Amino acid sequence: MNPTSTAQAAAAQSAAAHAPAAGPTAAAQVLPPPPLLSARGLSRRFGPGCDLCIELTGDAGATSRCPACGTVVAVHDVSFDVGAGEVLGIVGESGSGKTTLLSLLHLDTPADAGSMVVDGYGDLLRSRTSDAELRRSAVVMVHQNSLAAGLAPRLAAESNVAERLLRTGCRSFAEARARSQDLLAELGIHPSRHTDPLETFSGGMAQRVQLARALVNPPRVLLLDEPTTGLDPSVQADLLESVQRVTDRLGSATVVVSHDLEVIRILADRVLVIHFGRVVEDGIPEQVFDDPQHPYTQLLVASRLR
Amino acid sequence: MTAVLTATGVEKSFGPERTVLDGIDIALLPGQLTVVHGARDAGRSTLLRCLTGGYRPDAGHVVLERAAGSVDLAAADPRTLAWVRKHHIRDFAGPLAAPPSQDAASAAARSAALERETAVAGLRRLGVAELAEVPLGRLRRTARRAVALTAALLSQAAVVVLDEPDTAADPERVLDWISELRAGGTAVLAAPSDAHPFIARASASAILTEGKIQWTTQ
Repeated sequence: MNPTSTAQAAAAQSAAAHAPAAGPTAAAQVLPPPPLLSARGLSRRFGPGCDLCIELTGDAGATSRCPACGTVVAVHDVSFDVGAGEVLGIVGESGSGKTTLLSLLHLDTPADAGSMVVDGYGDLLRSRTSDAELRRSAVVMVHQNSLAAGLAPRLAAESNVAERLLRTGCRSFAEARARSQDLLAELGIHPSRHTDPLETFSGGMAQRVQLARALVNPPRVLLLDEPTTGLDPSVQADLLESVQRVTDRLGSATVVVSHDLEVIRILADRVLVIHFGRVVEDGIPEQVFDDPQHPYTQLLVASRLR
Repeated sequence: MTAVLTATGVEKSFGPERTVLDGIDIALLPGQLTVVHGARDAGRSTLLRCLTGGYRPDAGHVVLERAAGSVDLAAADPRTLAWVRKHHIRDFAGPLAAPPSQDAASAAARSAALERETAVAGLRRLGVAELAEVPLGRLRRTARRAVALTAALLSQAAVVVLDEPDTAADPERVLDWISELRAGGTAVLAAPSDAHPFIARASASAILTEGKIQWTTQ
């Protein structure tokens, strides 16, 4: 089986699994089908908290740190929906809360309030399934730093992918190996590198291995953390193409965090701008980048044009 | 015939000083070509962006009417807006946002949700077949606009809105393609740089001056 047909088969499978409402007539509808991921009121503070925390932070206080008690309001009241095959971009500067938001969505940090309903799984924040299990099937993250991604640095790239295949029902090692090689080739990793230990891979290539693992077992929700940061421009462009191919085929609800507005413009259908832990702007890329409404977004867009 | 897109009372300002649109009414009918012209800084691009949801109007309604229901783009949430722009309304307002390493035909194909060979044929039809294999990042701005225009004309949306299509490709080729879209029932709105050839083939045309629209033929 060639690499393309493997990925296409995976995509067809996942489209069938993820988008029951997306029949042949779905595109004729004027309203989008129900979302795969529905986040409501997600909030997280670090610190003791007091009655003034919310009032004194955000735009009002031009800070996310409560002047009364020192609590950091990292994420406050963030809500959004993401449907099958849709990509939500999240932008904001360092300290805006975007990383905390991503760690709430990946169940790495418990939320103080809010819900995160994923199609077929209910509210992940109140699930009886273990977080580790949910992180394999419901919500998968492609980390910026592949050491954090649960990859085995000493193992061959293809073994890192095969491990995921064997864990999710693939019976024979030979088959797992062949499919791993197809997936890696599909993501632009030359066959001569498939058996090299992962620790010899560059950051961009290690991210491709993570994407290959995501393709093995298409998750409902795919989280991408700064997918192109730290890569040189030509590698960035290639990786963007790979990411786009993967998000198109998976049919997952994708959330991508980046400080690079161009990356978000290319990948995302919709953009949330986060500032002092709050959503200050929510729109399609054209609205947010060409006609920004919030002073912070205006600054962010203007500083890109320096 | 009922309009597929109806704008009423659309207003848009940039800051307190610059009112660009001051109460625009426009209705786009299936199979018709509507042409908006006016001075270079009259606000045609702003009008087109307000009609396709690319900008949020300050006031007014932009209602898409389809068999399955209707949506007011001026009030729609971003997810609905993205959905409508993917399936019902297509604009050409500048180069595609696509990975710079992607070749022109693949980028146009993905953007229009069609096969790559269809995009190759589309580029040939606009007279820019030689762009097909070239990565977008290596193309000049005009060529990148031609790729985006191809994607818009291929898109099969019910409403197609084109900002200065005649500066991205040969106007006669664009007009011939528009005629075919009209025959298939598409509502087309164009704001060309040189209005005359477009007005000659339009169902309705209007001048945009001082934020208002005046119909010259209807």
